[in-house]
Amino acid sequence: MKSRRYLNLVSALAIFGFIGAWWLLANSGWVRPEFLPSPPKLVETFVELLDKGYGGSPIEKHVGMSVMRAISGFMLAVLIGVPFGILIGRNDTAYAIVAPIIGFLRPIPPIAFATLFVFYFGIGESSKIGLIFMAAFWYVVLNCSDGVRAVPLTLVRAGQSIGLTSSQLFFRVIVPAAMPAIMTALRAASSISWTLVVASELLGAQAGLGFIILDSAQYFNVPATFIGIVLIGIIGLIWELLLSSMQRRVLHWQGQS
Amino acid sequence: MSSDAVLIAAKGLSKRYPGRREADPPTLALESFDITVSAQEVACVVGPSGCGKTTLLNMIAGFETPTSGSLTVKGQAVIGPHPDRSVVFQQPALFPWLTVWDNVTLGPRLRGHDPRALEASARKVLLSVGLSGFERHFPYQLSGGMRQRVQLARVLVASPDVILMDEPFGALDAQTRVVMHEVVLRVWSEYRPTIFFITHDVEEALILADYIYVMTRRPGRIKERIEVPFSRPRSYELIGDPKFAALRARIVGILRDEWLEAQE
Repeated sequence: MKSRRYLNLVSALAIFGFIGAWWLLANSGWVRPEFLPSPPKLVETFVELLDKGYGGSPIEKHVGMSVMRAISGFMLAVLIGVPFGILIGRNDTAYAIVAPIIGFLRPIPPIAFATLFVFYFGIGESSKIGLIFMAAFWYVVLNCSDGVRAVPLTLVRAGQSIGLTSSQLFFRVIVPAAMPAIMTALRAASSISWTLVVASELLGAQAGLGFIILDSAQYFNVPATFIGIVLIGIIGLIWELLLSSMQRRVLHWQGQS
Repeated sequence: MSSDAVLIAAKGLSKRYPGRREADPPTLALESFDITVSAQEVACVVGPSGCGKTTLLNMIAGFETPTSGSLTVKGQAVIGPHPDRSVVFQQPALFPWLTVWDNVTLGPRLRGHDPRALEASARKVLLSVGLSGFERHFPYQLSGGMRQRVQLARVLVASPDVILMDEPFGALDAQTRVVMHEVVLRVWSEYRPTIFFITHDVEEALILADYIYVMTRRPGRIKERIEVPFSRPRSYELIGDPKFAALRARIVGILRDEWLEAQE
């Protein structure tokens, strides 16, 4: 087992190495500079975008639009999907009704529904948020219901044995015992939401990181495309870190016994 | 050591599980089973695995319903689980998201017990099982033996009529088990509960029990009810007593015969 400090150092070096290799490749002459802008060029473009915005809107507005859409779809999926998943996890009949439907819908890439959503809801916010919601919803429902179904019988009996009523049993035993699965559902749903926001903005958005990527590529403004991609990566990473630190806090008891 | 009042009475108790598929014959876990346990008795049930002893405990706990026959605790038919008949499980059964204190007090708190009285009784119970100072620990911070103490405390805090113990120390190492037996003996002498204890460890049964109920193979019946003659308070030193060795050999012999017959 290598020391933690050593491994952190290796990780840091890898990031610098990656940027360095990119730089070398961009300047090597093997790739046309229009296709692969060098890191200094990206920094320059980023400063310019911060200063002037993109497509008539400041960069914060693009970021804000994308984050708002992803969070709206995500929150809807969580607020409806978690209770729904927990309830069908507790009810065998409801589970038997819902499971095959989810089983059929889940393997379909959500983006396949994109044109239909535009057709139904127009090119405004509702089609984008609706698409994100639909994709995240099934994951949340499935993970939560499986989590509830996997609560050990002994834990339920222990709760009954100390005299809990069925609603106390539900809120005090089953929901907390299913919390690890619920947190997994939230993390999966959040990464799905963020992935889909970009895809949904490729269909007729006027702002957002997906819009920047599509629009800049159409005008051969490759550095701006890269900035859009890097921003998506950084925001996705921050979001993931926030959720995993929340998970560690809420589930400090998990996986240690 | 026990008073004469009957606490648990089963008469003609049967439990049948349906076969896996419709064509399969049903499994008879227990058939016309009779047992009587007095108040404050420590009753240990030993028997070959699969003899239906856990089924019996689950029915007394109210987790399962008998197919036929009668089962009463304190003269009342058993309907569903109740803190008066609480269970110490072999498997992990503590709520891992709650501290020791919250695990122990959750039941009475939610049933609306007076907080001050609950606090006093929880402190007393934790002291009895040797967990004072561990109130704020989480289960994952405790050893296997400590976790079983918490389970015992959680049951004890409700002052149950009977403590049902389902091979509670089966997963512990031999040294820890000896210490746990002393915890049970101490708890019994302080609270005088009825204890219904299931085990396959004959030595454990001899150290703890007033009466040992030796079961037959499935469908389980009581083959023999053996009085354990050692006076209380007891300690692990009993195992050096020649009477202990003789009883042990006798019970192991009965179980062996059952096992051999089952193979035929």
